[in-house]
Amino acid sequence: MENINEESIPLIAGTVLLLFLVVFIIIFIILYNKAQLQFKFERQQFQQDLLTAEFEIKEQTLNNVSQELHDNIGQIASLLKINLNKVIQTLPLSQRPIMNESSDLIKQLISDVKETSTSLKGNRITEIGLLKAIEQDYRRIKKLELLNLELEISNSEMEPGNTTSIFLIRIYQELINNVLTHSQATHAKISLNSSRSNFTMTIEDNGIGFLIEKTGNGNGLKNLKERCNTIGARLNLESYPNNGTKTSISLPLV
Amino acid sequence: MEYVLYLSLLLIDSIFGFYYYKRLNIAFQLLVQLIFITFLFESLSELLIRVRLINTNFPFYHVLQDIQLLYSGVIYFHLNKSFGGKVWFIIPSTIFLTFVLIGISSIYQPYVEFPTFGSLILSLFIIVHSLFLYFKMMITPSDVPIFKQGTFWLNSANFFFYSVTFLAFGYFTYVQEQNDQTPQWVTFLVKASNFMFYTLYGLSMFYSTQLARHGKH
Repeated sequence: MENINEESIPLIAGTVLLLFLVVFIIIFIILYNKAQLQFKFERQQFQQDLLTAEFEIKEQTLNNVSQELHDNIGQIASLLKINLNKVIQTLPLSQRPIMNESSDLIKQLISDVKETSTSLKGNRITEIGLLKAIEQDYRRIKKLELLNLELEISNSEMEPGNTTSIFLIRIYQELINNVLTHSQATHAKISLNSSRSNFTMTIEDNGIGFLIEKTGNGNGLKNLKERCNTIGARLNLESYPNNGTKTSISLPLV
Repeated sequence: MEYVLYLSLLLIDSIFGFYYYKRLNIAFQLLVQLIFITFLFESLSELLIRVRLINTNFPFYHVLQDIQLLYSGVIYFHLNKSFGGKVWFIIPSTIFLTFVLIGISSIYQPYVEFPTFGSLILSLFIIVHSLFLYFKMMITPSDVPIFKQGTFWLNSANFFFYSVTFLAFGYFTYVQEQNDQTPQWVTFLVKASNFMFYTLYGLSMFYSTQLARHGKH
């Protein structure tokens, strides 16, 4: 009996060791996975904080530019118009049509500067609301007659909060800018639906489209995705070469 | 037959390692070299035994464990370096212990005796480093899933194998002192551990090449 017990001691010790090793590795794997999740969460948090800070700096810069446009360039253009009107009064009648045309152009310039200044200001969204801000911007672009632009607002029950609205207007401005600059479209449609539970914005065009797989990791698209992630919105992008592009942003409203 | 399978496993690991050599980082390149050296030593010792030039392969194991300690130290140096922090102490300790092992083999225990106290020192050295590396992995987690990290498999292979051999060789030493016979299961355990060890080494190299392909190490 004693011999059997003596012989089984190393066997028991070996089994205990193996069990210990297995349990140790399992515990390590569990703890590592936890540490990994924590690390991923902290990194996401950091990236979001960075994005928010970047956004705030950009907004501040745009507000400064808006102020400068209004205070400096707008004022100078107004003074120019006043001086020009004075000069026109002193000219013979035959020379007045050209100068009147110049005066009209300066009037147009003042109006455009004012509109651009207003569109850059983030505060106007808090004053007039997101849908109205987009509508104003739509009218400004439609006047340029670069393409046939449509706006459809199917529901305006409730709007997102101020900060989210500013994010959304910037996303909208970027998407519209892409349509005007890159798409070569002749027709584009902006669809907005803002119910109590959900806000949806869709911009589609009949332009040249692009291959998402090739440009999917470009900076523009990456920034767009990050901004959508920051406010908890879902981005859906459909585009095919020569078949236009359709971008939908969907945001649940709590 | 088992020995042929064991040598085949070493050879497969070596071939795989050399095929993807440039894709591996320096720690895994050293691992490939170590596996290949082990293969050469094992093959040569077996060949010399078969042609009856030597009676035992123990002298080869004495030299091999010195090489294993040296290589393992440098491998752990590079693995720890990738996690950041101070790791300079690994190299002098490795060199020191290599000389200790040579000393044990040359002066204290003859070359025809195996395992030696050097085997226990080697096992302990690697167990300590593997635990330290586990700690480093925990405080600087990667975003790669743990089962797809070559470092995890390499470290786990070392930790498991050298813990088993530490116990087994310790027990061998005790049994030899008692002039008793080693139980079959101990020999089986060591052989099984060897197979598992080099299989996990192969797996670690495989995942390391996958990570390198995606630009991560």
